[in-house]
Amino acid sequence: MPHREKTRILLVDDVPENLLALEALIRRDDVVVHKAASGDAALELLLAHDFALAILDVQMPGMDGFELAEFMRGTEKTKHIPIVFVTAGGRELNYAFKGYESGAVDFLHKPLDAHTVKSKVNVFVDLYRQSKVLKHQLETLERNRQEQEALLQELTETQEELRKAITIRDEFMSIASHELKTPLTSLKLQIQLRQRYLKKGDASAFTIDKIAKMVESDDRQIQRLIRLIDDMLDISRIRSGRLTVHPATFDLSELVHDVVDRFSEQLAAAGCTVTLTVPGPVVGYWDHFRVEQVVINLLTNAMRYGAGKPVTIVLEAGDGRARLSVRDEGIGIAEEHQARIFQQFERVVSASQIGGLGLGLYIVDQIVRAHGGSIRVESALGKGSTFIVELPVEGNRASDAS
Amino acid sequence: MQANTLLIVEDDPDIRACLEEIMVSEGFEVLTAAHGREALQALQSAQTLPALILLDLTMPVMDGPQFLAELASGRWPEAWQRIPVLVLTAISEPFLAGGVAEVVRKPVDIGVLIDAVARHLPVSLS
Repeated sequence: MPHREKTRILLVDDVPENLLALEALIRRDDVVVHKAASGDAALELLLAHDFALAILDVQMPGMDGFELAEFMRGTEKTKHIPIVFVTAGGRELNYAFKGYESGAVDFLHKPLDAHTVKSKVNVFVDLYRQSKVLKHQLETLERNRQEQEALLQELTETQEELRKAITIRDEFMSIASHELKTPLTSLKLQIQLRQRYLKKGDASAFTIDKIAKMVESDDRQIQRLIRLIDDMLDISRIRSGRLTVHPATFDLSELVHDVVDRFSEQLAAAGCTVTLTVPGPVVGYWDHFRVEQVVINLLTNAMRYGAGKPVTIVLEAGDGRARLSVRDEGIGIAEEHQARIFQQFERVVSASQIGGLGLGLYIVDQIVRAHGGSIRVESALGKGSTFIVELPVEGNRASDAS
Repeated sequence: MQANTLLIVEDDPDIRACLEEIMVSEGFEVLTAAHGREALQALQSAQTLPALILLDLTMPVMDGPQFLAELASGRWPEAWQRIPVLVLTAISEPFLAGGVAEVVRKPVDIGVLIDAVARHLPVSLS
């Protein structure tokens, strides 16, 4: 607080008796008086402290009062200190100091009148304190202004983020409803077709072969619906940090075989032949359901983005890690997009061309991380993509203990 | 009198098969394509041009809007532009440049679909 700060006054006179007499005159409880017997001693004090006023004897040996004053005016730290000259000379000497026009220069004439000295000192002390208060207020104002500016900046950024979040949500809703309607369309058409045949009493539509085909198609569409809903639930689990892993010991090679088998028909429909290279059992301590999700997601992506081209899956084990790579010969991903694809709602191709929620790789990345593993992509535009997942065979057992 | 031919452009194999079955049972000759590029090829190799195109919007390789833009580009026979296009989509507010006779929303009701097809077929004197 400015009022707690000491107000300092500097007295400069080469005659010790004069210093004492002047000090006695201006002594106040709330003022600290510093005394200097020469211009040099005064300069030292001036650089060490902040003064409300300097009272300088004009006639001193060595550096006289005017020289000291000129020095003070030429120095940043001291140029604003008001100066009162004490002079015995006639009044014509009063303006010998060239800096008088810079203001705050006054004169005391010997013999000194106690009342004049006190009132002059009081004026300068008050002025000094007022300016301190004002400075403090200005600083407070400036600080407030800066705080407000920072707050406004923060608000603007938050607003921008919110606006973006709303746009993303709207886009997601429209993509999600489109994705949900596609399997529903297929199911609805199938059911209506059967209704028409039933109405016509057309039994030829219900041969074992035809029913088998219908059931397969229905099952595919229902699985698709379930996966979509699971993905949406996973996103909300990930957001609230509730993506849990329930590990158990199982053979990853068996799981990969199993998934490829289940998708054989879809792979054939997409024109993708699969080459699967597995060394033998790769046993690890992972969440079976989650790791299956990873394999399905990578395989469906390979089908989507590499339709009509071969897919190569390689499973390897070593150094306490399992490594699964899924390679497609599809459109590939330019280097600048390779980090983005692991974020939610990101895709490299427009949603009007490739279906899906834009969540797959994000969920895969989160699952792999929850197992203490990693995922990366090796790709170039037009050269296909290889997604490589590495999982420690011990899963996250080490960090589970913590 | 020769049966009317329809061209079905739809990427989902299950939906495509259903639509084909429905239209065949309605007495149409049916051509199918999995996306816009295949549809252009189907039009090129067709003996008789289809009387109507059933078009999905979201498809790989060449989506519905891109296919419509191709038809309107002048790069293809003018007769193709005169074929009515019935859009079948799950998108609630599809952006369409033009050249579309009607939009039918998925999941579609078979009756609604058959009515819409009938509405846009050229009137034939039989």
